Amino acid sequence: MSDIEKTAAAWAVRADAQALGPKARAELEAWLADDPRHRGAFLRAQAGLRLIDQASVVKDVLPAPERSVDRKAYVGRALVVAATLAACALLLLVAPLGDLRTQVGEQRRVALEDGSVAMINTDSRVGVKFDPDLRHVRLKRGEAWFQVAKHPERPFVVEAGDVRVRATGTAFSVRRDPQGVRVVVTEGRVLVWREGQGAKPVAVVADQEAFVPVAEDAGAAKVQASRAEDVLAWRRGEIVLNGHTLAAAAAEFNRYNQQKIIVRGERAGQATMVGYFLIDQPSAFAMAAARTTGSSLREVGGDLVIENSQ
Amino acid sequence: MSSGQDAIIDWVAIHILPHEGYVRGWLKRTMRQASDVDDVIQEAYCQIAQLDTVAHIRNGRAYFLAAARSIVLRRLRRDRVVSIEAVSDIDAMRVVNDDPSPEQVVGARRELEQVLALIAKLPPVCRQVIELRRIHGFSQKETARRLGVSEAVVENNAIRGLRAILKGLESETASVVSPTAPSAAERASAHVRH
Repeated sequence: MSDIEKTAAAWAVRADAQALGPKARAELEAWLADDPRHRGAFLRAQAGLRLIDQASVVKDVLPAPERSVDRKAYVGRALVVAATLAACALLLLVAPLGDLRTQVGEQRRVALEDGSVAMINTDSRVGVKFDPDLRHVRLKRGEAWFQVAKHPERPFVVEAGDVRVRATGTAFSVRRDPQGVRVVVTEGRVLVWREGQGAKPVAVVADQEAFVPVAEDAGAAKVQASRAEDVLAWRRGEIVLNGHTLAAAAAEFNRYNQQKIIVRGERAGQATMVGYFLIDQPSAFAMAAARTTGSSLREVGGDLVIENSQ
Repeated sequence: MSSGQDAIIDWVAIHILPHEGYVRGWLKRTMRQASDVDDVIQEAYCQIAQLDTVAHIRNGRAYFLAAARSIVLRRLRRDRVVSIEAVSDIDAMRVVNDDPSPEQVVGARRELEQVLALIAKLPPVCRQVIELRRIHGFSQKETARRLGVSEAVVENNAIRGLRAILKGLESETASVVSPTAPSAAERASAHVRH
């Protein structure tokens, strides 16, 4: 493995340092074509460089060294970063009933007294009220995912505006936007309806989602198939883009981060994006987006501006 | 480089590479020859390099393990390179938890600490090159100027550093998930989904 691995690392570093000239490029292609294992080793080495780049989070807390880095200070700062990240990581709290809130970028995992778990996404507000015969949750703002403990005699109802979602034992998320309420089911089955209209509840099962528009005249809940794991990737600290426009993807990142991504130019905004990204690294996404759309990326007043070059 | 390839490199960096130690640990327990482990890992990366898209893969660790397992089985049938006691363990490993547990969510953060720890262990020049190039984003030329060395020295140290970090990620304790085999509960409750 060692020779292949050594050559692969050398090519990854060279190709990363500067665009390869035609001669070097032909040489690399020849090496890759030479043995099927070479391509795998090259991919692994390139991924290694990217993984090191992920460590660029420390850039914010570490001043650029002019000469050498004090090792102790470095490790100390790394620990500070680690502690900060740990603090940002999901916290497991025990049933503080009443009002649960999250700030922009914060996610909370809350164990409820009945054995259910609520995972509350960024910038959200959730009210919890449990009665002997009804478990009532009010989503005042934002998004939350619920893993509901089975108590058939004690339904679990989420209220989001005039939309209701009812479950007994299952897992689903509810998201409130200005346009409407979106319910994504990851396990089991829930009923979704709009209160006070005589509208019939619709059933939504695992890997389906329902959207209820805010405007009453826009009709009842629409049910469709869902890539539930992708939609709910935020629970793993990720955003999964699967043909989203750049404008929509930027809006999604902006939900989680104080540093906003601003897209200028219609052509750039309409470009579609595919990939997995870390939710708390808007700059990594902005760089990738600028690169794939051939746009420029600038930092303006702390925000990231992606703009068509021409 | 096409954007599709680029997305796959990003995906491998985040979802495959951090689990290499874990998959290697499983392979070591099932195979007699250490060199076989390298071969299987190499073949798994080779398969991933042939993918056009990774959008359909939900869980990198589960995918990596499933790929390694099928390579082991194929070799077992082909030339009996692998020891026979592998089979029972392979069956036990058929199932892989596909749901993100809180540990995995936190684990995604742990990979960063892991990489930082590996960088901190590099020899001084090597570490400075990696820090200046990767973390602070200086060009090779600027890095050479700051360190007062030639660009060739920077390049050689970057290669050395990358290799040392990749080597570090091979060890099981470097893996982002707990180094033990999947728990009984994990085996019982989970399944591979595609």
